[in-house]
Amino acid sequence: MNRHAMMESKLRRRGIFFLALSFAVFLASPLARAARQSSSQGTLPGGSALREVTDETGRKVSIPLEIRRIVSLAPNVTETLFALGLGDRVVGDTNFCDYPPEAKNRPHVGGPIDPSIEQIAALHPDLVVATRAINRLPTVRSLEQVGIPVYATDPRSVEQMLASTEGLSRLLGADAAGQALVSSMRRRLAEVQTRLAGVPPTSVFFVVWDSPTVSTGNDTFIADALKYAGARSIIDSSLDWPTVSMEEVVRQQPEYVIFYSATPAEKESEVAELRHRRVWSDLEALRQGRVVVLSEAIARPAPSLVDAIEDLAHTLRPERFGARSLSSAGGH
Amino acid sequence: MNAAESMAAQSTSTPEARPRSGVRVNVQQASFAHVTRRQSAPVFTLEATSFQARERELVAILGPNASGKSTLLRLIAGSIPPLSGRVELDGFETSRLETRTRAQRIAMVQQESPLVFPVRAGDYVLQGRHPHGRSLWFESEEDYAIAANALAQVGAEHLRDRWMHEISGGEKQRIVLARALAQQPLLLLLDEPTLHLDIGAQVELLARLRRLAEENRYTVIIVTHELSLAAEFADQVVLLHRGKCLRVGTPAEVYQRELLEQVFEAPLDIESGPEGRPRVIIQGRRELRSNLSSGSSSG
Amino acid sequence: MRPLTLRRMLWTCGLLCVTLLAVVVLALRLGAVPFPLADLGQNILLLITGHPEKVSTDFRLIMVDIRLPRILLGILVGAALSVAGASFQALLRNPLADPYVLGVSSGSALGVILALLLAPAIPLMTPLGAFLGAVATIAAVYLMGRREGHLDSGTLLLAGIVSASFLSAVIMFLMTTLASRDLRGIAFWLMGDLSTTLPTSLLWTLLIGFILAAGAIFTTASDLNLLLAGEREAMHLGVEVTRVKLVVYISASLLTALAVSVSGAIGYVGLLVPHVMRLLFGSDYRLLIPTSAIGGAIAVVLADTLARTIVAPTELPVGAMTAMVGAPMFIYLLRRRLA
Repeated sequence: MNRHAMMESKLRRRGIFFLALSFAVFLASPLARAARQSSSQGTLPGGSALREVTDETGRKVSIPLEIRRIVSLAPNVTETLFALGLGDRVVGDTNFCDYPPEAKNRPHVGGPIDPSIEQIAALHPDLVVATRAINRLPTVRSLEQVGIPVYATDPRSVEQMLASTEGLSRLLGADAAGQALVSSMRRRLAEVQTRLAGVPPTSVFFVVWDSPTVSTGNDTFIADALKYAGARSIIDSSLDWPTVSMEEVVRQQPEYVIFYSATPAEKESEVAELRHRRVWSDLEALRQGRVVVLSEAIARPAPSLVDAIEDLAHTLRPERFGARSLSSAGGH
Repeated sequence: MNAAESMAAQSTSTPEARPRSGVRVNVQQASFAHVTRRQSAPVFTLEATSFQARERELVAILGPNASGKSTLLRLIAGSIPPLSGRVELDGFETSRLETRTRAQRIAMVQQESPLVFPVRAGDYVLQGRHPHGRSLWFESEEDYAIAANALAQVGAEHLRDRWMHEISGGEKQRIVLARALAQQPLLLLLDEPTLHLDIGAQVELLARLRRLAEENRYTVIIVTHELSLAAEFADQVVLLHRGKCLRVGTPAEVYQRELLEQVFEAPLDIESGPEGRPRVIIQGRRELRSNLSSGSSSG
Repeated sequence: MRPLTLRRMLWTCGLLCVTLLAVVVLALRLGAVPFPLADLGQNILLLITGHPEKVSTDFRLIMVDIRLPRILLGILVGAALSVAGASFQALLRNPLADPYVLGVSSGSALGVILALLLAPAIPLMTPLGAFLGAVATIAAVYLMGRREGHLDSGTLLLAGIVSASFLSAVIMFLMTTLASRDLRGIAFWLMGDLSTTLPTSLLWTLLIGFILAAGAIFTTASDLNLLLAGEREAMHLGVEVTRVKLVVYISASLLTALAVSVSGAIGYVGLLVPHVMRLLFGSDYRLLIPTSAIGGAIAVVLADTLARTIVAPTELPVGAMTAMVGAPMFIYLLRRRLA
């Protein structure tokens, strides 16, 4: 084969590559120009000017002064927003946001871990509120990449939950509602503390999940809530949600076992079945019915956490709370 | 102009440098040893060996197992460099040639590796044209013609569209040979090509090789331990025994009974056949003669 | 046997490109937010004719900022993984080889975990960590996979498998003992996920890297055909075996590293697309490399579109989609005794 023909076909090969390359370039360049324009704008669809704030994870975020449209990416955030009276500003939330009931009617953007960025963008929010414990950093980054600001909360204790609620209220211009809510919550917590004064904490085993057996570590908001309710988790771990050995739990023989569920009635039958499971059946508390089934409020660092604390305190030490009826919100 | 003529044109013109006319392969005192790390003394698989081969000649490298035959073949192919001595093809040292240039002149037929993906016989033969093209090139009409011709020369045109994993051992052998022919080499090397063939296929193969050597002016060198085949078809025999070259010559010159019995450690008889070619007869029921068996050490 | 000519190659690639274009249009059309085709066409026309300001903000936000980069990313990742898979199948002489068999994805995952632990705040730390982890693994496996100074397929495969297992064990250990809140995203990444919007500069880097690495492999395509028929035979046919193996190893590993660092470990694409292309167009690597690239792009964009729309607005990770489709397809191919 002569040299001329070989060179010709080599050139033709290069031609294919260039065709492909230019196709990509052709498509990408005007779009890249457009993309650059839209994401580097200093004003957002809301049109208002910006201010810079620092969120609870230490990130600096530029948000508009007026925030009318909010998307929430976590159930506890949704609940907090509604509790602050800002429910009508919430234009979208996740599939899992079911409290309060009105939250279910809002357009859903997917799950907290895997929301649809498109869907969020289509709702034209002024601000997206996320929480570090549930949402992923890549989601936050993707939203910022398309010019949507994200404010992240990170409540890791009861006190932080209160501070977070207040912080959100100030951020969103609902200072009065926030202060009222937070003071009311503090009052109720103080009341519980007073009633439990001098009582030694009840040892409890808090069940996050039963197979594998997962409980709470020392630094979570649930552990903190337990303390407020006059309980003490028998699990000592620096991990947030450690998998525990049932033999160790049985060895410590907690006074109470605590479960939680969105449907407490159904949970009762599951608990009954656990009584017969190996190792679990050795738990005295389980055998003697010293079981508490709380609502999901205990698992959300949001205002209803206080309800859950009250419920638990009543159940563990009924004698300290007299004949008072149990609070209605999130009851058994 | 073909490769041989171009190489001849490029070689130096001093009489000492140019090989004797007609000699294509020149093996001069070539030896090879495995150097292992722990031992200080290398293990010689082939001691100094010399022979020459011309075009249209069929040479048989003969010997029992582990006699260094494959090593000698690899030296000729240029895949390993000789420890001492030279191995030359038309005046050029085979181990110093570039891989591609070497593949244009030397074709090797070995026990082939198992195929990973299905390939058609025709495409397999076409691979033989690879040394003559460049990396991104597509085969030309000429390449297809050469491949078809190679298939015809081995009588396997009807196998062209068949899958390699579906044809018999003997047919595969022919396809592998066709691929070697498609390389249009000067030198055709075959390592134990008759191993898995029945006697009819063996004779057919050797006859074909003889004919090809004559028609295409190849030099054919085969490695074998088949005494009868070598006697019948080879122009020259190189007899190896435990790494040493014992004799080089025509079959009649090399096939001496005492020598062959010593090398192959089997009771044999040699007779003279037509055209002066020796015939080997196995004396199965006779023990090896006592003075020989006491003299030969166990291998 | 049909001869492979330039014309046949161009026709085949052209056909596949048209299919890819159709899939891209489909992907642009579908999504959690519906877009009528007429709007789509009108807006694209506006863009191409250079009037970006007239484009509706919704379109720009969703199409240009979110969907199109994601589709382009899918194209690049799919092409890279498929070419890498086809190359490893040749290099390791094993039809079951995929881009991750030599441990690159495990090394990447470890790199991502370390990046999340040490410096989560730095943007682009995740792709960078993934890439560095991949490169380290490539180097380590190469050193282990040598025999007598050059790459040996069998040793390389063993070294890769052992590395992958070891790294997976380390990852498992880290994931269970460290605070889970920092590592939440790793599960998504391990499944393969295209939902993270990346800056365009990263896309350009990917494109250039892909062209260079895939181009290098393409130049060895006819050598690979011969290598598959046996290494000794290839050497006797003029192939520089050592050089070719090294080039293919490094290029294919780089392609894998590039893909994995931006999208996590999307499975089955690198394994199956080359086999399907072989079924359709034959085993000649000169055709297989480009067809695998385009075929892989089609596969990933389709899978990602499905992942985005099947349970909208929730998004599945694209790796879940490729596994769901890929596993049955793999079984089907096995039964056809192709592998």
